[in-house]
This record gives sequence, structure tokens and C-alpha cells, in this order.
Amino acid sequence: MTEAAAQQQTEQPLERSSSSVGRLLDLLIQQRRSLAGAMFWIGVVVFFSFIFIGLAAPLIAPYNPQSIFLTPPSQPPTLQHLMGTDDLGRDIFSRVLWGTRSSLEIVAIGSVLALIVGFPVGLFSGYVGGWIDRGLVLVMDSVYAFPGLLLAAIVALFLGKGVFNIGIAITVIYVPTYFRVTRNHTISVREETFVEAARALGANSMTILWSYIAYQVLISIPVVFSLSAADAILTAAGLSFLGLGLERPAPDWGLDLSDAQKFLSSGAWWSSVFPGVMIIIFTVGIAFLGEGLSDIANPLLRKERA
Amino acid sequence: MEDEILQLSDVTVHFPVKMSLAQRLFSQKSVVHAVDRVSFSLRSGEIMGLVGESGCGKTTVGKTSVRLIEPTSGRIFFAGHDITHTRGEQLRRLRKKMQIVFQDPHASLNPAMTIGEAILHPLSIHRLELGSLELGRDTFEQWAVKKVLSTMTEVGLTPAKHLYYKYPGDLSGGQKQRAVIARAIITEPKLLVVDEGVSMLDMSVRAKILQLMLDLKRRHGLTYLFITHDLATAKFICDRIAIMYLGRIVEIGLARKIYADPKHPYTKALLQAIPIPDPDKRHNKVLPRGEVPDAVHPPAGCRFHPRCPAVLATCGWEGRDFVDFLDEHLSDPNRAGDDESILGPIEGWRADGLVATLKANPVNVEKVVERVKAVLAEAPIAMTQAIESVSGRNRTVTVRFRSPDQLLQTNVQDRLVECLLYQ
Ligand SMILES: Nc1ncnc2c1ncn2[C@@H]1O[C@H](COP(=O)(O)OP(=O)(O)O)[C@@H](O)[C@H]1O
Ligand code: SF4
Ligand SMILES: [Mg+2]
Repeated sequence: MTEAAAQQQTEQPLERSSSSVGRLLDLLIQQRRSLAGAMFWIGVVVFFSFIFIGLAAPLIAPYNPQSIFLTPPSQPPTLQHLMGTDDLGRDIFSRVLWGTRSSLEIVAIGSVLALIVGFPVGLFSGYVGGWIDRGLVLVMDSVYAFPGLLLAAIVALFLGKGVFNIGIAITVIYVPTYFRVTRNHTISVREETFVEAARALGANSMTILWSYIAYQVLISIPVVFSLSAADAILTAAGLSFLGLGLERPAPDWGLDLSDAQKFLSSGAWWSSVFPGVMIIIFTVGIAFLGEGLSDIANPLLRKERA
Repeated sequence: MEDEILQLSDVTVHFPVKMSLAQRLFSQKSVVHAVDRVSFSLRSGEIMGLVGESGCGKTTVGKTSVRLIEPTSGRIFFAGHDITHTRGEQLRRLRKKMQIVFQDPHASLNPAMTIGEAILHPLSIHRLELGSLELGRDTFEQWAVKKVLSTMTEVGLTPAKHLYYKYPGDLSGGQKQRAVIARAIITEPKLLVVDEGVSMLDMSVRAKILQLMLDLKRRHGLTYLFITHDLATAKFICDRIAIMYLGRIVEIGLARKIYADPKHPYTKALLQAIPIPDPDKRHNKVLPRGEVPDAVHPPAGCRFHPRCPAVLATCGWEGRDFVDFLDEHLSDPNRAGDDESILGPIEGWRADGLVATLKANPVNVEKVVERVKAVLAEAPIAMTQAIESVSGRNRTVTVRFRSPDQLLQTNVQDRLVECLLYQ
């Protein structure tokens, strides 16, 4: 063992163990005072607050969101009704809390499905290359070039209303985003020496793709996830606003906003402002999370690839 | 030839040159002549060095030997089997028996795998090819982890249990290369190609890794193809060496003999690393830092002729050499005088195979021919002798060279040398 001990002395001392994910987490904690770090952590707080609100809506909402005539129509905020009531006398605070839940569901379904489709297809396309890759890129790019809301509206028209259908409509928009990021990252990782080394070891394509490439590419997914989720909330609200989203009387920000706008002129600002503010806070929060993460993770990604 | 592990016979590897669409449409397909008709064989248990400057095709030979690259032509035999065009599952299984260690240990390791996982991976990849294992009471996984730990200890990655869970980023360069070596030998291969395996490591670590490779060779009966640009490293470890220049092996034989008495002018220059005495400045660079001519258009005849201090008239002089010489001449104001006004800007000259031509004003053609001849008096003697004619007809001045002699590998004192001096 003396030789080994001597070797440890001459070769550099050990640092503490860290994987890519571990290093990223370290960085995020270290840089919490930088702009990107602060954005990320604010986003995290917003995101988890909304998840909490969505999960706990039945417990924290003071009224049933669908109960009508709790008050005369359109009462301004009071202590009993923190955000006032709408034209049917429903409690807006309760509706806004419950609306968080449907937004979360739609975003979760949309993003997860988009990830489940976009990520493997992107990996495959980038890895095999050639005409298969070119064909897939063409298809995905044409979908990508289509205006998102319009595309979702068309899909929603076909599928009908409801949380799951809207989730699918949103999936269609974001599959190309996941695909593009995954494919481009795959192409760069594919050229890495450790991938060639894996081939030299005798790994087959599947093993190389999943054990060597997918791991690396996965690092870029959280960024896409949060950026597309932020966008997805807006799209979902937009669909509801257009009457293609959820069915009345379900509590939904977009739907409520759409119903409330005609009373704006009569001075009932509260019934539009509160759902609108929720949409903005949630969207901006997730976008912060994504932007912050991407600012901090990208140099790390670049360094790891260098 | 039972104990021949690896045999390359006339192996040629050409790479397509990356071209834009316009270039692909309007120009001929051009290729990088990375490796050209290379032959050698490795006997079981020997260490063969492949030495040459960067870009001469060493890595390509290494990768082709373990079939990471399929050769353009020629044959590769591994333990007597022709593996030139083996592919798919068969090739994958073969890889258990031949491994390669790349130059950069950090880049060779998956940053997302711990050291232990990385070294274990070949075992699970080749699980079915490992044959019947003496598992005892262990499951395969337990057996594999034990094997990894003992291999880690063997290559000096200690304490193995501690390092098993480290990521590549946590290890020093030397430790990473030890891990890469452990990963390469864990399936008990016969052949190990080591491509610049120590050149990225600190001097202090280098000798230890080399010693490790020697120990492993003894214990596991390995055969090495040891690629390096560093002659000192090769001298330390190799039984035989092959000197490569621009895709060709120019001298191959016992390391001891070649180091004691190099025959090929390139080997001599490499070993002495002295300036090559040559009136032409371009040739005066110290090897091995001189420019290597590009591999897309390798020089005619002997590829070393533009830099060779012993060059003969028959070594491969061609139009390009004249244009290069003229360029050098014109860019030296002391020597050039008013030559440029007569011989024209160097861009006017075209080299095509054995001829160099200049489109000149018909009135001037005679004058240009005279001046070319005058300038040639300063050229290397061998080049001047190789010129068949300098002529002017109509509007064109032509400098024509004789065809070079055919180069052959010649047996010179127990080694093969490819040089006209010995033919
Ligand atoms: N994949 C490739 N595509 C195109 N050209 C290549 C490729 N690999 C190597 N080359 C070229 O082949 C020649 C030999 O390269 P290489 O084998 O890496 O040399 P060495 O290892 O001796 O430095 C070089 O001119 C290099 O640019
Ligand atoms: S053949 Fe020999 S003498 Fe001629 S250029 Fe080549 S190395 Fe030099
Ligand atoms: Mg190389």
C-alpha cells in the first residue's frame, strides 16, 4: 500500500464526489445572490407555492367554487370574499385557488406528454442521423413554425373540451421544442470521445444511447421543461378564453377572465384582475425558474462538453 | 503464424473532405489520405510503437486496428481471423478481445458514471461472452463488483472502495488514465491499442503509468500497439517501432536497432531533431515541428521529399515543389531582385502533377524561360536535376519534371526502410 499512498500524494488530492446534477445544484446554491440565481430561486418558490395551492385548494378555499348566489352579483372584495364575487355571486378567491389546480393539471399533462414523445424521438433522430433525421426535423420544424395557439385551437376543436384534451392539444405544440433541444444536444454528445470509447468497449447502440448519451442530454431538459410550461399556461388560458378550453362552470383562470371582461366596463375590475394576476405570476415565476436555470446550467453544460 | 495477434496488410484509409454543396458540385471529390498501404504485424506479447508527427495517421491506424474505422482497402487479421469487414453483433463481441485507450482520459469517461460503474460496464456489456464464471455464492453483479475492485487495486486506484463511487471530475489525470486502463483490461483482452496514452499526463505521472502498462503486460499477456509522437516514451517501452510519415510507414524494425542506427532520413531527423541542412529556407525547419504537407494532396514519390535533407533527383519532385521554391525565392527581397516583374506574381503559376505552368505575354515568353533557368541555379541541386525541361510555347511557360522512381520497402539490416537511398 505504500506505493498507493505515494501515488495519492503526487497525484492531485481528491475533491469531494460530485455528479453533473450535484455540481449543478452546488452552483445554484452558490449563485443564489446573482441575478440568474435569484430568478431561479424566486421561480422555485412561486412554482412550489402554486403546486401547494393546487393540491390544497379543497382545504384552503373558503367556499365551493361553483356555488352561486353567495352574494348579490358582482360584489367588490370584502373580508368574507377576499377577491369579491362575480356576476353569479360566486367567490372569486375560491375559484382562483381551484383554477390553479386545472392549470397545473393541463401543464403537467402537456409537458409530460411532450417530454415523453419529444425526448426519445429527439435522441433517436440525433443518434441515427441521415435521412431519417432530416425527415423528422422537417416534420417537427413545420409543426414548430405553426402559431402555437392556433395549432392548439385546431387540435382542441377536434378533441373537445376538458383537462386531458387540452393537455394533448398543448402536447402537440411542445413536442417539437423538446425534440429540437434533445436532437441538437444528442448530435453534439454523439461526437464525444467517451461515446466512441463506449463503442470500442463493445456497447451496442441502445446501450450507448441510453447509458452514455441520454444521461448527458437529460441535463438540458429542465430548462426546456420550465420554459415550455410557462408558455403552456398562457396557451391553456388562451384556449379557455376562446371557449375551447374547459367547460363552464369549471373554475379556470382563462374561462373566468373571458366571462369577466364584459363587466369590466361596469367597474367590476376584481373579477378579471385576480385570475389575470394569477396567470401572470405563475407564468413569470416558471419563466424565471427556466431562465435562471438555463443561465447557470449552460456554462456548466458547455464546460462539460469542452 | 499462430502467435500473430494483429496483422495489417496494405491498409488504406481515406476520409472524405468536408465540402460545401458548391464545392461538391463543381470540384472533384477529394479525400484525406490518412493512411496509405500500411502493413505490419504484432506478435503475441510484444509492444510495437507507432511513432510520427501529429497528423501522420497514427490514430487512424490505431482505430482501424480495432475496427472503429473500416479501412478503405487492405485487410486486417486479428488472431488469424479476417476482421476487415466484420460488423454488427460479431464485431461487438470481438471487442472484448481488443481494446483501445485514448489520449484524453477525461474525455474518455462518461461524466455521469462513477469510476466503478465505468470499469464494470464492459463486464455487463460482455456478460454473455464471458463464458462460465466461478460465481460461487455471488450473483453476477456481486461477482462483477469484486472483480472491479480487484482490478482497480491492480492498476493502483486505491483505496478502491472509496474511489468506486467517485465521478471522473473528482480524479486526477493519472487516476483517470488508470481507470481507463482498468476498464480496458477488465475483459482480459489480447490486444491493447494505446493512443498517446501518457502524453496528456504530467511528467511525474507518466513514468508510473508506463510502468503500470509494462506490469499489466507481464501479468495478463497483453500485446500493445503503442502510439506516440514522443520518441523518448517509445524508446522506454517498445520492442519494435514503426516510424510513420504522412500515412506511410517509412521504417520499421527492432526499437533497439533503430534508435542505435536509424536508416531512413526522416527517422534520423526525428532522432536528432537537428535543423536539416538545406539552402532552401522552407526546408530548414527543425523537426519535428516543421509543417507536414497536407494529406489531401500528399507529395508525389517519396512523401518526405520536400523536407528530406538527403533528397535525390528521383525522389518525387513535381510542379508544386517548383512553385513553392519560387514563392520562397520571390518573398526574399535580397535574392529576388527584379525577378517578380518578369516571373510574375506567384499566383500566376499553376502546378499540375509533374508540371508547373505560367500564362505569360507571348512577347515575354523567352525572357521568362531564361529567368526561370537563372533562378533555378539557386534551387536545391536535386530539384534542378529532376527538371526535364523548361520551355516556352505560345503563351505558356512550362517547367516539367521527370517521373520519380518507384519506391519500395527494402530490407536494410533487419528492418524495412522505404527510401531510394537503399534501393
Ligand atoms: N474523421 C476524419 N475525417 C476527416 N479527416 C480525418 C479524420 N480523422 C483524421 N483525419 C485526418 O487524417 C489525418 C491523420 O489523422 P490522425 O490519424 O488523427 O493522425 P495522428 O494521430 O498521427 O495525429 C489528418 O490529416 C487528419 O486531419
Ligand atoms: S526516398 Fe529517401 S532520400 Fe528520397 S526523399 Fe525520401 S527519404 Fe529522402
Ligand atoms: Mg493522434
